[in-house]
Amino acid sequence: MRILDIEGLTVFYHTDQGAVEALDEVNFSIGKGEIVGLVGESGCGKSTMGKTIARVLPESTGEIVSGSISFQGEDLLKLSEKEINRRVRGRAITIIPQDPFVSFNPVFTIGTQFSDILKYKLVAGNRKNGGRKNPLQKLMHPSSKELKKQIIQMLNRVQIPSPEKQMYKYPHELSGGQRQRVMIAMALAPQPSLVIADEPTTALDVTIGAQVLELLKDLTKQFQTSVLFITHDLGVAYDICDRITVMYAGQIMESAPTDSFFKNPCHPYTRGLLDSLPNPQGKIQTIQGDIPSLINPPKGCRFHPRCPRRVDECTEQRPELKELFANHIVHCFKPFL
Amino acid sequence: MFRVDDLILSLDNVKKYFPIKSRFLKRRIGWIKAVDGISFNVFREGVMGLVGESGCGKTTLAKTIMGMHQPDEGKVIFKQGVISKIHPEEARKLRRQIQYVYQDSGASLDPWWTIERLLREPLVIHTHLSDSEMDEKVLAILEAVGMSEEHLNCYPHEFSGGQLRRLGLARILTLNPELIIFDEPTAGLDVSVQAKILELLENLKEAFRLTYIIISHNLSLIRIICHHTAVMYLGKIVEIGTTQRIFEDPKHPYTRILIDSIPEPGRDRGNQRLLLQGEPPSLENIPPGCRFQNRCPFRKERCEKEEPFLKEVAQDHMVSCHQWIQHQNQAWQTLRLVR
Repeated sequence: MRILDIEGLTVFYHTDQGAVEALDEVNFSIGKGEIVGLVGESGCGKSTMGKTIARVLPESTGEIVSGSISFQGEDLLKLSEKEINRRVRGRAITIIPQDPFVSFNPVFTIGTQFSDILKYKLVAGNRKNGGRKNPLQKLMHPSSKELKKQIIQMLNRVQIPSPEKQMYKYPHELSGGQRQRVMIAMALAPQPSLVIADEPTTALDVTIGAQVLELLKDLTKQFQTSVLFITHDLGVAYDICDRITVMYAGQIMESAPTDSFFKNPCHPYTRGLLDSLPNPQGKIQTIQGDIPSLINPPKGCRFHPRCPRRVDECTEQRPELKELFANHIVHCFKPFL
Repeated sequence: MFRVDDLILSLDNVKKYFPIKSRFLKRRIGWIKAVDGISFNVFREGVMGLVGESGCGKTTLAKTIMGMHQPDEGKVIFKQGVISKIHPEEARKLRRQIQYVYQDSGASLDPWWTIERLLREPLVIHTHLSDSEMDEKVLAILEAVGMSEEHLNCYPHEFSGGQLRRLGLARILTLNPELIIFDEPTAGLDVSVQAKILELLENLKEAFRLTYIIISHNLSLIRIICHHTAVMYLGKIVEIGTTQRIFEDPKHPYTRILIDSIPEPGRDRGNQRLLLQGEPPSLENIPPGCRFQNRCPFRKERCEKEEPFLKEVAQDHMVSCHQWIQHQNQAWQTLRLVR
């Protein structure tokens, strides 16, 4: 069952130099309990996608030109800001940010910030049942027993040692790995249906990163939460994702179940990415050229200026979607088979 | 393979401690042992890799080599001359030959200066070249790192992350250094850009006959580029040897776990791997005995009492562990199955 279905999504950023075509007719979906990796280089539109789904695109510059995002049968783009705030953002859809340090408020303790999330959830839940304020709200102080119990329970889940003490600490007193774990706990606390994880392990050491990934995988499977996992690291994607989608310059290039993705990479760009990974066997290979500017991007397939298998068609029109293996789709005229 | 007169840098039991002061009265109440007795040799045109988690002392060590920190004990020998504890004036002159590439090149370039001015600055400070000679040199270097003349009048913010790394490198190469220390040369770069930077590093090494020390926590990077690798844990080297041996036959449990946690497509997934439990203890109170004991799956009584030191286990391969013989493949397999 799909919980998120994006169709023909096009997003522009307006700048002084012109419109940046950040997403171009993107089709994408996530099933229930599925972890989908969105992989690509910086500037390819991964984070824009995450932001558009959570409806946190910068208002002044970002514009959703066309398309629809259907989330649990409802078009998110048609909902008002108020509705989004009340039911979706921070509730049904939560975000795990890249750098846990800048996303915490440095002047409040972990416990206070955690309880804010839980309180918020409670108040909103109440509004739905009649719009009255929760009479218990006043009691919902971080020291209140019920709240404390919930926080400790969540912190325990993410393996924070002695949570009853840690919840009174400030963000700077925790190590990077612990901070990211608290972030995960906070993102999962409202029991969302979809978590958007934007490069959650980039700021961490490999050993700690591996721990955090394992934890995220376990918890989301346990809660049956779907995850949109944004990363530029194919190795990390391999470890955690059920399905991997590759983006390049705002377009989807290839999407496949993880095993099929690494066994039969079909798109020339995917091949290029995999070849540029450091491998113990031999020399590294690079992709010729640089990422194009997204103001006036190349016509047709946006990868064509760098593509070794380019044919005339590529410069003119966008390749149609092809399903080469089960669930393995490619946008390319000349895929590797 | 290497001869003694090829030795370019040698560290002899280098220690760097930072005092911890009490809030009141500022009395010293302890030491942070950031670098605690490190010795290794780097050979001319070799590449040495330093690996370890954040806070293990990699950067402090590099800064000590540069002369930015004075070691509390031990010696740093560069080309047969001791360079630790020399006068700051002398150290500054030496810095022409030993250069340090910062992790974030973008942040170390002055945003108000054009590329031309940035690249000329080291020449103006350290050499007595004429203007036209400087122009020539700047252009040659710019080309060597794969950029062109048209970039000369641009400002740092106009470049991408990969280009900034190139510029950072160019700036260092203008002085013809012999030893370059890289602090996380590819951190924060995309794989395709990372591949290009690595290619560039290889080419420059050939062209300018350079010696590299590479600090990184990216093991797959270390694996392809370094000849020798030293694994650090809490201020000490736990394993050192040729890269091939370290990766193919790691003896220290920490090294093994590090290698196991590299996210790499095609590896055993999830439950097949052994992950490191917990986080490194604080440098303020290092446990007696082996520093790795509280995270080690093979801990024995001896590890809690006696501190291990580096022992040669094969040619060009030293390990600091009491139990290295015991945890051969057999023990490792059973541990994985238990998990």
